[in-house]
Amino acid sequence: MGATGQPGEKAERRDGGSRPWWGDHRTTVFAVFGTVAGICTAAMGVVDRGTSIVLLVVSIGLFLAGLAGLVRVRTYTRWFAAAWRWARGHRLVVAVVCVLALAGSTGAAVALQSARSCEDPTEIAVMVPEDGAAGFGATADVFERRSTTSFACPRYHVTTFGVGWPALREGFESGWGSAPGEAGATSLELGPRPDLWIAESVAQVDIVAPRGAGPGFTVAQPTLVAGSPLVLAVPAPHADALLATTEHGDTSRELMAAAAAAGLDVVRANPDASFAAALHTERLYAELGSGSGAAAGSAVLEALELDLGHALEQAGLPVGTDGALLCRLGELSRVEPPRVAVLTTERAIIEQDASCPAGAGGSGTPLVPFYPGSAVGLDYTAVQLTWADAAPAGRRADAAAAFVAWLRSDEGQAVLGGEVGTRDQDGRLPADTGGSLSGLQDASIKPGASVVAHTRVVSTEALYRAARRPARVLVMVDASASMGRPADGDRARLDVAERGVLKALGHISGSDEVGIWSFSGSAGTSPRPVLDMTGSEVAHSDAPERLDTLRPEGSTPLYDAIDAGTSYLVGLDPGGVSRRHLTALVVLTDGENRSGDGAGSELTAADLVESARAQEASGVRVYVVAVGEASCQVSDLRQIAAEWDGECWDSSFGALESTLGSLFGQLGGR
Amino acid sequence: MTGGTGSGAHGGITRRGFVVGGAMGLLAGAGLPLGLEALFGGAADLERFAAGEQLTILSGRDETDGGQRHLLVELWNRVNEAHPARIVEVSSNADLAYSTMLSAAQAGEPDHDVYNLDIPWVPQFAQSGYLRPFDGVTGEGFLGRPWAAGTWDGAVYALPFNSDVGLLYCNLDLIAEYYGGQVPAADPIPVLRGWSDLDTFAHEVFAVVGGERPASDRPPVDTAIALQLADYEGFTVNLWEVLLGSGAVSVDDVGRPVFEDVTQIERTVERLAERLRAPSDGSSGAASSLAFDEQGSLAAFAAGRAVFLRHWPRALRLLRGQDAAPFRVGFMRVPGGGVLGGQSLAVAAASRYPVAARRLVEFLTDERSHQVIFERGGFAASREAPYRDPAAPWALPAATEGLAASLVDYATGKGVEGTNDPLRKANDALRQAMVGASPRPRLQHYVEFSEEFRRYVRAALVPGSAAAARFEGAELAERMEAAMDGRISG
Repeated sequence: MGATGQPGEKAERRDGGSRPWWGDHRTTVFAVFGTVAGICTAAMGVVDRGTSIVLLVVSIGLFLAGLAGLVRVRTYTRWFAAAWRWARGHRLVVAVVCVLALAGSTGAAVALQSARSCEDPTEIAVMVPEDGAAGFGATADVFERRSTTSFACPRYHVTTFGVGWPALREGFESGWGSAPGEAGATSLELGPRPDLWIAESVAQVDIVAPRGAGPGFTVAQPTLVAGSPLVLAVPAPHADALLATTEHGDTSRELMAAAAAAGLDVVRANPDASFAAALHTERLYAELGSGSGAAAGSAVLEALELDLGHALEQAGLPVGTDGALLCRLGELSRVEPPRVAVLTTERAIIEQDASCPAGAGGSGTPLVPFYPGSAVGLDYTAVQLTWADAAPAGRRADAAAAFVAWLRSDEGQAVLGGEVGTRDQDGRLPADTGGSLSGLQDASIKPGASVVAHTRVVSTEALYRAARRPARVLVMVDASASMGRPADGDRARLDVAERGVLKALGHISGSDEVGIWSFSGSAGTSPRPVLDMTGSEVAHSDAPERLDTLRPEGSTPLYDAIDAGTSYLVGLDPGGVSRRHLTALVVLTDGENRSGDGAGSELTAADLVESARAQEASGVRVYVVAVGEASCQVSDLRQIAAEWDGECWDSSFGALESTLGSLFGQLGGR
Repeated sequence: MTGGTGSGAHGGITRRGFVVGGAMGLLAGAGLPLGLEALFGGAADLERFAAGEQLTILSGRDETDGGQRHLLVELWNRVNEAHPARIVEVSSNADLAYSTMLSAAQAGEPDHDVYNLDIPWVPQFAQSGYLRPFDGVTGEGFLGRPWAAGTWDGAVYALPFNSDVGLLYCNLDLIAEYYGGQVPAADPIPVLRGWSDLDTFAHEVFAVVGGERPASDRPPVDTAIALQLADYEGFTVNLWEVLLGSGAVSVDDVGRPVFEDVTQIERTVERLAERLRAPSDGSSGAASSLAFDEQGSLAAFAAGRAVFLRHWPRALRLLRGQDAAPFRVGFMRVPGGGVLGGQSLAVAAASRYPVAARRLVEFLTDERSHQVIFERGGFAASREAPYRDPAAPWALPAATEGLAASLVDYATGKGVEGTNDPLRKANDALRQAMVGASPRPRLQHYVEFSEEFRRYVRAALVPGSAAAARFEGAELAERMEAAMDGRISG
């Protein structure tokens, strides 16, 4: 028999009968099909992945077709018929062989899959609130570890990043990098465009995306995942007096009055920096107005803001975010818990100092929550985002939806409660709190039950802007030789700093005042006024020209500059805690203290800490923005700022404008 | 060719026909790729851009002195007006930058033509098909390790843009103070046996010069070695260098980490944990490294608070010059070899303009561009030539007055012979560090590996953490094995 074993065919050929076309051209068919298959295979190297897969399938098909050209189809039929006859006579053997083959192939497939590396997990970017960001990150971590294939491969890689309310608002307003330009670039510095956003309230969503859309993006239906009621928190040693004089259903104002009667100063974070503080403000303003049947007068609101500001200064607390306020409160409580009552959230109390930077927080003194009757709170709401100029989200959108579904599951709710300190959708407290906290407990507080409309938040912002304390800010710019180094393109560090200061001055308005000094050289000849303390309008017009005169030279008499600046501010208003202005020294430096010679060169960090504790220094804050070879991680700067009721902010030169903008936003307003 | 005549005819196909057909098939299979390469893969014309179209480079923050990357792109734009390019900078945080780039790649966004990838990410992007291979390029002129970092599975996927390598900086004034005027003529900083020698010596110096010195006008020293051990990618890099320098881990021929010596791993981690737990007289202390990133550790060292600093080459420029560190700064290789870092440029698989994108990448990685980034940007070059150019100094001149001769060697470039020119010596010392760099683990799942490494090891180093007592080298090895394949363990 020949290659195909077809004696009948041989006879037919010998007879000169017709032969099928492939009988004459089998080699040609094989060669043609093989060649085309070769072309397809070779082309796989120069096309993209999707086309490669198509070409591979086509190549295999062509190759098999070419092989079929070499062997007659009838031969296959005869082989198959013979095999079928044999199989029918040996069914048991066939069954055993099939089972073994199936088990073997399954085992081999499992072994092969186990030995293979995992596929690329789907990457999703999730923006979370700045306060509690670490807990949300830990929650996402658990989701990643739970969402695996049968071979322990993660399906998703979730990157969470915490962004403060004002920064994310600006990011959304700029389209998050959808348009070339500085605003977009600043947004990308915050983090990637989020696929999912855990907002603190549906009101936030409505503010940044009215009618479900913003510049360059749309949002899907918000989904409530957790909540945390607003509370008045009191250090445990001072809580008893309040427990005796308050009752269920008291308003915020009534709780504040009870706190005042108990000798506690009520403090609140900056509503421009913290959404929890913005909600508290909305409630307070509404309650102040409700008594008279109309909106509270501006004088009443101004008096309220002045009281809240003085209380912060009295206690030595910063004026920024809710998290920063509570971390500093924890630090101060190491010695003795200050006599304050803090307008904050239940979540912040449960988390305590878990999110504080190293060295901050850690008092161990618990805070006792008192719940206002309004039952308003943060309603953590998951929102999926779609970006207009991006490729269809596809797998990212599916991954984001899977994360939201998991957050709403029993497991997700438990993890959220444990890691973030939130209540679940039914209003139950995290398990590790024992289901209740001391204080005026209200088990009926349920997330989403009492929502503040975004229009009320926006109108309260306008009222706050009119009622806030005017700012008096002295900006101290490092003009030492190192500020002459290149920073960004062809701009020197000093140029970047000047531009950042000018842009930040946009937050100074109305009756705010601002001055600019520079420091460099030796302590004896530094600092020098660049722009004397003046009103906001004059500052806006004169600052560009004045700053342009700065030239980098000499060393960095930093401590002398801080001492001179704080002394000047104290001298402007010796009234201490009764001063009307929110008074701050903002120091921008790229290096540690190198004071040279002259008066002031002997100053140490300990001297500055000591002077912060003087009675007349109360109400003057120091903020340090550390760039280049300066850092808040070297604790002297952080400690000096903390003792002066301020904060130390690390920044890169690339992010300096945004950092200064955020800081001035806290001092002067949005 | 069928129906052959002679012997050898079997059924419908002759032996000759089979042989001829097979040979044709083989020839076609072998020859066509070459033809196709010439047709599709070789030099091709630049695409024609529509009005307003630009090549887009997705990149982390430009940290070169003076933003040299931007200037190079501007230079490209001047000579390629019809094919302009721009850099879109994402977050300076490596984890967020990774998320941005990976999201774009997974979505196949055609708006991004070039990715500037941290070198550990190249295997993942290449393996997942997010990059176009560079066919027909050679590593001629490039240093071996940076070049290899852009390859995966036998193909070149990324060309080195700027390189980094861990360097060890030292405060030479504190070393001199430690010796009290009796600086040994040879080997005053004995680190021959790797990290354990450095650790021992650094703490000996710290024991003598550390703490408050009321009689001294220098700042108090509170850290022996400033490391970057905050919870970010820097932790993995620093710890990996420590473990490599201790001989506890290694990397095999294909770049896969090996965790065989679990006893040495445990010993090294425990010793480091002990150091971080040690009380300090200073205001920051040994444990401050756990909060340090690059900026924090550099600030601590520049303030004179640390005897040694582990950092990148660009730190030298910041530590020298006007109003810089008020002490003499030396530098050397990290004992056991610093880890290789840096970024490489790759063409996105989804790029609309792959030919122009490739030309742009080749432009940005040619010899002149590397010279600019080296000389003006302060970064290590990935090519040989800039190191050999006496007119292109990487380091600023070192202050050596009054220093013992054996310490001058550290100020100008330890271990370099054949030249007395201090700037040439510095160039060559950096080149040696690059050539002797320890290979970074090369894994498709590097990010998972790094995250799991951080999660497990860092917990063991935090003073007072319960995990410190539970650290086991064998468990680390087991976790890392799973993470290297991208699997979840534990």
